[in-house]
Amino acid sequence: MILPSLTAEDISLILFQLLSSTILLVIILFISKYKALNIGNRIITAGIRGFLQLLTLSLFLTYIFSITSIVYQFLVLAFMIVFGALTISKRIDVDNIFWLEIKALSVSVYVVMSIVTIIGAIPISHPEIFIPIGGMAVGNAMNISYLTLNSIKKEIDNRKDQIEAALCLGFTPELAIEELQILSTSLSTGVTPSMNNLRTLGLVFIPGLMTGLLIGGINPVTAAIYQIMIFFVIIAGGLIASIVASKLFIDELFDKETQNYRY
Amino acid sequence: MIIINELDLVLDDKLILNNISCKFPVSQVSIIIGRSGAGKSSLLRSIIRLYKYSGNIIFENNDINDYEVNILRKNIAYVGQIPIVFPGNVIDNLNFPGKKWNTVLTSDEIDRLLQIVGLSSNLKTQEASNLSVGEKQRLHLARALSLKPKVLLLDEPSSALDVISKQNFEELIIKLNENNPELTIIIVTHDLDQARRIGEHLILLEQGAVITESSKQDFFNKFISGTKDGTMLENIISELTGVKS
Repeated sequence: MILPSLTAEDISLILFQLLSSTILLVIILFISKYKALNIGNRIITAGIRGFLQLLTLSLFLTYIFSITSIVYQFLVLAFMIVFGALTISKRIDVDNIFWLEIKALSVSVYVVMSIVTIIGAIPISHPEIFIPIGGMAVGNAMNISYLTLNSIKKEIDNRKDQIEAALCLGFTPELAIEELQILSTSLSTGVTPSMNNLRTLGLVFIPGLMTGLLIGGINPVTAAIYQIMIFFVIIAGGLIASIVASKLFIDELFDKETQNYRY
Repeated sequence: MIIINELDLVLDDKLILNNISCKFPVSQVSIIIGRSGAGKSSLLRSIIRLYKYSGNIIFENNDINDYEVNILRKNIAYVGQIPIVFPGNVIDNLNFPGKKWNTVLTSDEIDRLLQIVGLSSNLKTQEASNLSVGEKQRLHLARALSLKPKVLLLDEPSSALDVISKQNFEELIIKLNENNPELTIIIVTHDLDQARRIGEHLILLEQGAVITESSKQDFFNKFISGTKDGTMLENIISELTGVKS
């Protein structure tokens, strides 16, 4: 039996949680309609999708956590990477965005996870630790690289004339974007939400992983050090993904022969 | 010398340039003149390979496609219609090309460039974005000249300028041409009077095709004077001179 049996207390808690979610969803939909945000359908779809994904995950979690082979664990990460890249490819309308994100997320996640695994900070024999942390690395690398690429495209759209002027001085598109500080601004934009979380860690933001460790009876100092390491996994992974994705993205945005902006 | 042979350019499925053949002699100011939409700017942009075309463009006896595009753009400088400045002050702007070519201008070189384009050296530390349109245009030109190009392409360089600034800019081009005998200057304009004032070699474009190519004397004495009787050419010329026939 995969589903655990529920007590009357559990059932009433579930009902309260569903009620709270419904009330908060109504507030979100009201704000969306009032401010013409046009996110109503998206939030409902994302909410239902997220719920079903988590439900499916929880049903399979026991099985996934029984996988101790390193190859299988990295394959689970590959599965996450594919979905991360698929999500971004629906948000940014540029050719080959899916494949460039696959490359960027793979490089960043496998490099960062290999480092922490080889050093021994995350035991590979514990998939119940490795896989959720790998999932955080993928999810955050996806978000950070999305924010970076989105910012690069917006900046280029706003500064097309300056970029063309630089190209006319013999600059390559990549160098023009670097020297006009579009790349650095965009990388900073991408990583800023994670940096804000890091800055307010413990004061405003109490991360889920640390909470879970504390509830699980882990020493607070150990939990805090674990959490800090996770944040560096997130930021380093995000930056590596953003840098690799930016390079491939810029190659895609500009014509190889004329170096003209194609979008 | 730049030679163009049987050049066709198609943009968005539209034929913009149709079988263009012409040449731009060294040390002369060549003018490409024509009405709006004649294909003047497209021709200029093809010369620095901002567009893909069919046909040949020869620069110093080699097809421009044989050059690495960055090297080509170092040798053939392009200044567009709207003056573009980069973030930072005037010196930062003049040193911007050096970030690609690993050069830093000396103080004397900066003063010389500013003098060539007629900008006061007092402006050196001024934010480029705060300059007037005319000053920005001169700074844009100075930045292009800092690479010591062999060809200078100017796309309607005075279209954003007032009458006085326009006159000063024309004088600057004439002086630039006199002082740099190795420099080929190609200017796009729709102003026939400007062509008369600064041009030496003229090419008239209409609907993406060359109507005539000749020296200034021949262009004005034979071609323009000989065009009468409400022909298409007379209409073009009337529009270029601002005179309604």
